[in-house]
Amino acid sequence: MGSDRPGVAMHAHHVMALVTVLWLAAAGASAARQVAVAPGRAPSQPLAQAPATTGTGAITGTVVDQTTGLEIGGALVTLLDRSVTGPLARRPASTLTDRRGRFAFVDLPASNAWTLGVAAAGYLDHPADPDVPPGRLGLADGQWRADVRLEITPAGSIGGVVTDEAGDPVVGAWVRLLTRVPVAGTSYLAGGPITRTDDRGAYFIGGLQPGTYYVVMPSVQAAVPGDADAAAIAGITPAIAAQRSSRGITTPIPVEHAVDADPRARLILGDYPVPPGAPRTAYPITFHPGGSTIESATAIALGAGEQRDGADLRLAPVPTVSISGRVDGPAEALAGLTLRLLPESLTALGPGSEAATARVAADGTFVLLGVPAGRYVLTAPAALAEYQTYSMIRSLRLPGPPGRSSGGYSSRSVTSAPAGTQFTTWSGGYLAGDACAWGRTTIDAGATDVTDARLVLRPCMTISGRVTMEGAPGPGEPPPVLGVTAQAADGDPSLGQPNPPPRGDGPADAFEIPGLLPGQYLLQARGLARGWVVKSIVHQGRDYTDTPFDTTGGDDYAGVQVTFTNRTAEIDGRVQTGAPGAAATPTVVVLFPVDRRLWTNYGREPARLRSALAGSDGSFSFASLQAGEYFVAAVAVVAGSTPAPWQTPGWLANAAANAERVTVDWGGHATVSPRVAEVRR
Amino acid sequence: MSDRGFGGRRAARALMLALGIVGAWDLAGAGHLGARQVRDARVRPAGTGTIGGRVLTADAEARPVRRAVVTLSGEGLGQSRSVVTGDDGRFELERLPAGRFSLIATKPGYLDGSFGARRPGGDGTTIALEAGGRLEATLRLTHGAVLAGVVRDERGRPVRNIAVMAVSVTTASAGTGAGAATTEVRTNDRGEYRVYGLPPGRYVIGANPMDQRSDAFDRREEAEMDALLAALRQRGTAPAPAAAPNAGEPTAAGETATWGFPLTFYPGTPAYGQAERFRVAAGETRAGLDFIVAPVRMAVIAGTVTSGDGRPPGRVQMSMIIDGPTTSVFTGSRPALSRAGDDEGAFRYTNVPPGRYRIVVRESDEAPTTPSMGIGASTGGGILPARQAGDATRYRFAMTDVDVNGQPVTTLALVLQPGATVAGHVEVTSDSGRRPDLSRVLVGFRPEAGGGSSSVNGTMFGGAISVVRPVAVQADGAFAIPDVGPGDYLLSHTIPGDLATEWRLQSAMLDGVDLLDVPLTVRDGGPIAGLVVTITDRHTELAGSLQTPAGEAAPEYVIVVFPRDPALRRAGSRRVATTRPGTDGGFDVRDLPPGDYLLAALTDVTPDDFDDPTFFDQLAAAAIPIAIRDGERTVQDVRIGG
Repeated sequence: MGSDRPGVAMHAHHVMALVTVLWLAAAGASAARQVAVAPGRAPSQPLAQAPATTGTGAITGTVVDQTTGLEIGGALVTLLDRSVTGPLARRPASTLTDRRGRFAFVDLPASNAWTLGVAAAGYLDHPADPDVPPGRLGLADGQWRADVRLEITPAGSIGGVVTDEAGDPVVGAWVRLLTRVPVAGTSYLAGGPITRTDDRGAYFIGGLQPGTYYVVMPSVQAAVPGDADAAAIAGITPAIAAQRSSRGITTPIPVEHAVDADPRARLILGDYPVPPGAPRTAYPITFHPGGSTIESATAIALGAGEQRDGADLRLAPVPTVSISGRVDGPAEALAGLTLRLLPESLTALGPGSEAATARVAADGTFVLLGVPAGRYVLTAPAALAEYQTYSMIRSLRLPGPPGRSSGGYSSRSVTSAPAGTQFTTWSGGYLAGDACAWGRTTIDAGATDVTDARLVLRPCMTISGRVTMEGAPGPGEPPPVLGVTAQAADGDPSLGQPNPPPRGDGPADAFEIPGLLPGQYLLQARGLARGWVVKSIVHQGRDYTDTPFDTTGGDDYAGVQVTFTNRTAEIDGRVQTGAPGAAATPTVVVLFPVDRRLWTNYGREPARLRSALAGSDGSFSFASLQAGEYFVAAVAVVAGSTPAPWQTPGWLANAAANAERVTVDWGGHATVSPRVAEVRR
Repeated sequence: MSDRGFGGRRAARALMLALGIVGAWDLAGAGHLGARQVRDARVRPAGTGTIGGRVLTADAEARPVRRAVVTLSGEGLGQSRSVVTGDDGRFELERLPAGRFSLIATKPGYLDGSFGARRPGGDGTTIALEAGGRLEATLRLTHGAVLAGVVRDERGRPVRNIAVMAVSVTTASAGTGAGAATTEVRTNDRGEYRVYGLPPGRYVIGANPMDQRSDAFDRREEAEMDALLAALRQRGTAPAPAAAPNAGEPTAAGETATWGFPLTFYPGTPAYGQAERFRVAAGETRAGLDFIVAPVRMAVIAGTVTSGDGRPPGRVQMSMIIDGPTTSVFTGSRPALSRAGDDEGAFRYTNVPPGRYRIVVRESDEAPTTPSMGIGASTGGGILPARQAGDATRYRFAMTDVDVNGQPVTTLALVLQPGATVAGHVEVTSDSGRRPDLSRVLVGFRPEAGGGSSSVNGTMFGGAISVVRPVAVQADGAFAIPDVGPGDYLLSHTIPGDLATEWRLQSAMLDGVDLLDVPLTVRDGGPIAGLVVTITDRHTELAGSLQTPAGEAAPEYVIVVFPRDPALRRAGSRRVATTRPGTDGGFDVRDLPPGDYLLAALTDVTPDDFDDPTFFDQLAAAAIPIAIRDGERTVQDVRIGG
């Protein structure tokens, strides 16, 4: 491929590594670390004019260890005005605490939303209760808020050693934490931070919040068809190869490490440890301390600041079988398709959690190699997604299957799960073509090879209809809604996140959501402007505003009528506190519907469940609500406790007993004064 | 021959050999070399050959290495074949076809070990396997070196989650981090870092807090804090704002933060030039490389970009290059570039850590986009796409170097100057009389490797901005590359993949100098004409076998082929090739440009050797001459000790 000498590729690499600042490039302001705020916060509102940058207020205080009360010097305290967002937002102000843990911000303009954050070595950036930032203050002109006490929680860690059956350290093994998160009333496994063992076989994952964790070493047995060459394994498709040559890229394709297992298939080595005799033996997915199923794993209950060492993993090779068969489906869906074989208990997890993967051959046949005994779900995934917990450390990402990069993912926060929970989706799934199809079957692997597995691809479903606006946007305001999409009502991550294409040539008020899998879907607005809400969703005379569409029967839904309104409801008020000054205790206000059927299956971004942090004067506000009957509960945060997530039906039932009950109509407004309740957190 | 002649460093391991010519044939005409055949990768040939053996540690103990992956690859095999070693380090690859193969063992924590390699990571020996043959191969794996330590803050507390990089300065040119390979890890909650699996060599360790603590900040010592609180108590409110001498970008609190954490090198300096460069032996574990990352004063760099001709600047892109390893130093939010007010052409970098910087401005006459205060850390500004037909965008350039150390530099005046236009035409040489579609060929210039960086007061800047947009050649072969900014360049080109299987660039002659070998220095905007670029479908090949004095295959040596003309001998040149003979002594080098060469055999060559300016001169003393002619296969058998 005669183009330039290798020096060109090297040079291009250098240029990539340079920082180039585009003078006129539109880009966000510097992304400083910010502490999380309570979910359900109001969308940002652009301000007409730049805020004042100096004033006469001051905030001073001390950073202390939440568990010991000791002052922490050298902590980085940041101060951000959350009342100003968008392009006019200023960079956070930052200061280091002095030896006695003291900090000071002076010359501050008035604001109702100064937000303090702390970063200190060995402590969580995130507060122990992720719903509550450590400090959020209002400040008037000339006011001095002295003696602000910022309590921060020591970070926990989990560490250990990975050894093989001979007791030798396993170097470069992937190690991941798993935990469970409640979403829409169901508990799902969620991925935590990922690291690799060092040359001593040791791993260390720090920056952990209190919680319950599993430690797992992923181990994916990746098979490709026997005729797959190095380019195919490296993911260099004919299209990419053409791009490479047109750009003169001559970097050689790395030689693959692969075992010839079978005339039809090869096992790709390199990403995970492999014993001799592969693929007839394998190191299975291994949980601390040594089992291969999550049921056999030891869960680690990690307290605040706890340093848990000795969470070792001992690998042992196990005999394996191959599973071969055929995928039935349209040729365009088979081309480049990669199948995933997931242990039945890990089906909520994304790439890297499979026991095995197989690239399907052009004729639709496939061979999975190195499969330990167990019960599995074999999928041809149209969507790839998982829940992930907030990670303070920069986490690695597990390698994807051969021929697929593990990149191309996006994360969005889940407002119906504990703060910090992310829903991560990988673009494109493992299906190559545009045709959306899915397949799923259960497979039992035992002592003998499976030779007649069959996976039938079926087309995805579609929900379509029309959008109606009650009310009109004001002059110069953007359109109230950009589109309609769908979310899994029960939060099932394997349904992914439908991503409807931009509207085509059809009528301007039409919408179409293709790419749906069998499951329960709630419709939701995409790009809803502030001040607008869904008023109703109707199909064939039946109301689907809070009821999911069921696609398990393979049915499409057409003619769905979605109505938006700008006559939104609002509920505000002030929490009732006991003693004066008690408002200094952070108080979370939770709003939820009275109808307990809506305490589950409300999706990832529920319209009717909200939480907000009460201001320092106890005030709170929920805007852009749907009409209905709500509970409003106020919860004091007990320092040093491990919070329970409020998004579960049990918590809501408990909270309802002490909550204020209020009904608002469309365009209505209500004021409530919930008492700060002793709901256990 | 004598060891003494080669300097102590190389003498022990790179013993050079006197060579004798066994036989040389120039197969003129007979060896016309056209496009190579594309091999069908889907064939999976099987045969009766076997390669078995063991993987052992490279140390004196020679212990078996379990769970190593041994991979055989090569033409004739179809796809690679791997096998995992058992507890005794043994492996066996069976049913192999005859062919020429390479064999490599890998294991995490170890350096890759090729069969026959003279040192970890070195080129291996090609295995020539006959039909039904059996080879017993021993592969040696060297433990990677380990660098480990703890990063702490001023108060001695661990700094967690900070990026620590081991910069290999072995392969970098002296004084610059350009081209250095870096391995990056992160500290854990205890501030510990551990980089493993490193090849032996010289290293610099650096910690990069830029993404960790991305913003500048204030700091007050205890006494200052006491005074401030006392003042607040007295007034009951905040004191009047004090003027800051070194104002950064205003923050939310309107304050002027001036401290930050810089990129810090072991043993604790922000200056790459003062970093300790230490040598690590094969498999060595160097622990205790502890150092402190302490805050330093950040600076402002400000100035103006103006036109030499009074025309207002159009769309301006600026890049800032720090002296040091080319790493993701500034992909975070610092330094921040802002456009100050409505001042025409004013720029302002804030939060600039101490260091030496080169600021490069590239301006185009496209209409500026809507001005926005913003920061873009982009790779796109560095590389310009090829010029499309009808695109008449013009570029101007400005460049300056600046040292900062906490003090503001606010009076930089960058004056945009036009670049040069280099014109010429493409010629085609072909025995078949064919002619490729020249309009699909792109030509341009790239900064000479390392030469885009330049030396300032003895220190090199690492990296450079690419400033030349490639252009498509016209169907008749004519081209003109406009707007070549100041710098040293080699010709770059792109031949589309389907054409590149047959056609390659032979030369780019300007005033008797080949711009594929010798850089063109552009100083100002004057026109340069008469560049003749030659494209050919002729290929060259140099083949032969290396033999011992007894006439047996000598696979354990390294062959270096380099130009006879000392002016063309440079590391990285297209005219320099190294290869290793196979187990049968056979070697094969393809597509060296035609010309007069020297061939030498050594016991080993390391990347360090090519950095030694006297290396080729020393080789030349014991090398034999070779002539490589266009479109021909040159066969040259060589005997050691002749």
